[in-house]
Amino acid sequence: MNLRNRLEKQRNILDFSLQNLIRRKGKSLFILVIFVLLVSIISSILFLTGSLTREMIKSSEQLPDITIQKIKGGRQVNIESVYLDQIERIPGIEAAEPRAWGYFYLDSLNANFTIFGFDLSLLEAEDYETILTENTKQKNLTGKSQYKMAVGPVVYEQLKKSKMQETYLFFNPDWETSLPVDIIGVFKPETELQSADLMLLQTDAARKVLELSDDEFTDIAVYIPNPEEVDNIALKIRRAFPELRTITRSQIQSTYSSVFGWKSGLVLSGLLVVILAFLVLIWDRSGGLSQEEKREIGVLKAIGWDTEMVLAVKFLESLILSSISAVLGILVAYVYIYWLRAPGLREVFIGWSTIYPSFKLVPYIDLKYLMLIVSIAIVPYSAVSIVPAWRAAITDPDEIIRHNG
Amino acid sequence: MILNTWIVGLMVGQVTILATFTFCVLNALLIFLNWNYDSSDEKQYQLEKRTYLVSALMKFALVTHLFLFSLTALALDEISELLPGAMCAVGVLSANEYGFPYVYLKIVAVFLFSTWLIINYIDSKQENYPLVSLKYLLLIIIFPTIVFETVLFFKFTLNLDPQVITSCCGSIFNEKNIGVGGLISALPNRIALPALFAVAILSGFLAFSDVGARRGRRTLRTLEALTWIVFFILSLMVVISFISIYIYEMPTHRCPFCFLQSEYNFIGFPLYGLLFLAAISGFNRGILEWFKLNDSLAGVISTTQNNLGRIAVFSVLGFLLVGFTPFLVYYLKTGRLI
Repeated sequence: MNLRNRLEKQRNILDFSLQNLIRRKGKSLFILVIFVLLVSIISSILFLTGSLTREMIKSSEQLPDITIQKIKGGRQVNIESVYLDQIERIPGIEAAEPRAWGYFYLDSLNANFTIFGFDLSLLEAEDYETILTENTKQKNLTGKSQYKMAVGPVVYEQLKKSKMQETYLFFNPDWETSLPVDIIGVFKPETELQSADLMLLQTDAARKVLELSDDEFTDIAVYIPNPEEVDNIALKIRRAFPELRTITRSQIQSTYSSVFGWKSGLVLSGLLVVILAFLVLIWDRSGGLSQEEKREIGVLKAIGWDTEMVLAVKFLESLILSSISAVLGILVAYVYIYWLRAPGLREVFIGWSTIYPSFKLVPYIDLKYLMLIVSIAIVPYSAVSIVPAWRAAITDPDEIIRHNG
Repeated sequence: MILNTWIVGLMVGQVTILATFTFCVLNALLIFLNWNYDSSDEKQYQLEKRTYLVSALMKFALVTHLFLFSLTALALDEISELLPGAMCAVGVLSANEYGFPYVYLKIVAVFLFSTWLIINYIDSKQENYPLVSLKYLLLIIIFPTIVFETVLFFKFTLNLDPQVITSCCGSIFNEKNIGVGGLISALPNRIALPALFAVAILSGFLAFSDVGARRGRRTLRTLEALTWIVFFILSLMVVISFISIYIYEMPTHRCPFCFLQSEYNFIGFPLYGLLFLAAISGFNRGILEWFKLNDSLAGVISTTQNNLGRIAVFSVLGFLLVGFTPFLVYYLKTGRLI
């Protein structure tokens, strides 16, 4: 047989398999629907994890090279300013910045806000435009209170509810007076993953809200121009001050990835049981051949088809069905994750406070994701479908025709 | 251990292969023990039907195995983000002592699988199944490979510890490094490259030479099969020490996995695909000589050998073309070597 004939034969087998699938609509559709559902769940998890990890790695590039915390009694405590000079003197360090940040719990809204101290006067006019939507009402209201802050969009919505969208009064029962802070802007929605629950306060105001004493900071951020030196400098700091803890950016990044990987792995492992159940179902459905199918195979064999060709047809049927389902399932997942923004699944992966960011996910799909979906969904299904296909293919023509007349 | 999507995916694939293979071997055992071609009773008839099942399952197992192999290479790169120090697949594989043996065993398994499938193909071309007992015995013999591979896979993934700092390909394939990686790159290109071409020419010469006696021919073809193994290993060395640096256009980046990624236009897939195709066809062409048990078999095998020879030659040419194009492009663009 030359190549052309062989190709022609393959094409005919493919053609015949497709016709078979269409002819048995009910059965095909049943498997199709379950398979699409399964593939779309698996791919949703993959897409979401992939995009989130990418997003996190990208945004963590803005993080300091090393974060230094003071540990006392196994817990993080505020760090004294005396460390600052000595750390700055270590060669290789470009800058060491003390930071003041923490959380502010608001009972009435049942929400936890992140407070971050920042010198707002450092923001240039163009910075304003790129990251903030201006609080227009506030434009002409300068100097109402001593302090200013910028807040995340979700915080802003919450404050609006309590009619404090212009000036917010920080208050704690054990304070003598409240602390009014003007809201000068709201972060743009693009930054939501980081800014949803953020209040960016002027450093002095933040220190007051967080009740830090004058010579204390929350931690120190260290910037190092040469990435090769980061680990060495971190080691140097730990040797000189055993009471300090250093966290490098790469440590944070690998923690992020492993948290997302772990969450998706966990969800997926749970799904393995579903996949197994699905396989058993398929085995059951395709194992029992209908009378009509039996007669069809009998006729095929009687007119001279050999076992291998019938086997090929049967195997192709399940391969076609699973491939179509995989494509449809991936499309469904794409729409669910990137257009509908993954309602239901999102909460598993992000956020820990009551405020969930409703950020936009950037599609990130690579060949390897598609291969992984194939490995989880199509490979086991095809393996399982071989045995029923074989069982159908070895049936003897005379037996079938004799029994069904 | 890291519970991770990629690892779960690989696990599903690996377990599927093991299950398929185990099922095959059970059937093979049944056939091997009870086979009697001359008998015409019901039992023999059923056994003959079973051979179709085994060959269908084995074809599936090989395809899945190759598929999973490429996915492993891509997934390891993804996992590398979790391990401090690891920057790509090489770093992950060297994270514990099971990583590289696992990959080596996978390569060996590809060769064994292919040999079995080619013998199966030849056997199915014959009316009276002359190789049945032999081929099912062979299947039972290669079964431990896949069991061992699965064990290594689980040992490897369960022992991945995100706390341990591993090295990256820059330090593993550093010439000063001692060990397999260091050895590969310590082989200077002025030795490795001519050696590669010499072996290719030698195996071509062996392929065309022929001797009258049957035993002599067997020795000759076995030698040919061995030259293909040497060619395969040398090619991997050249990929690491020469081809890769021109793909990355960087003298220090010598990674045999990174160029499988989309960033390098998946150039690794045709490169390794053609290399495997060439080495497997060449190797099996030589090995098949041992299965010329009678005249009718000898006829089919000779035809198959000719076809395999043709596939091997074209794949080698393709491999060299794909592998040396980045070098040529670099050389023509800059007029320099790295």
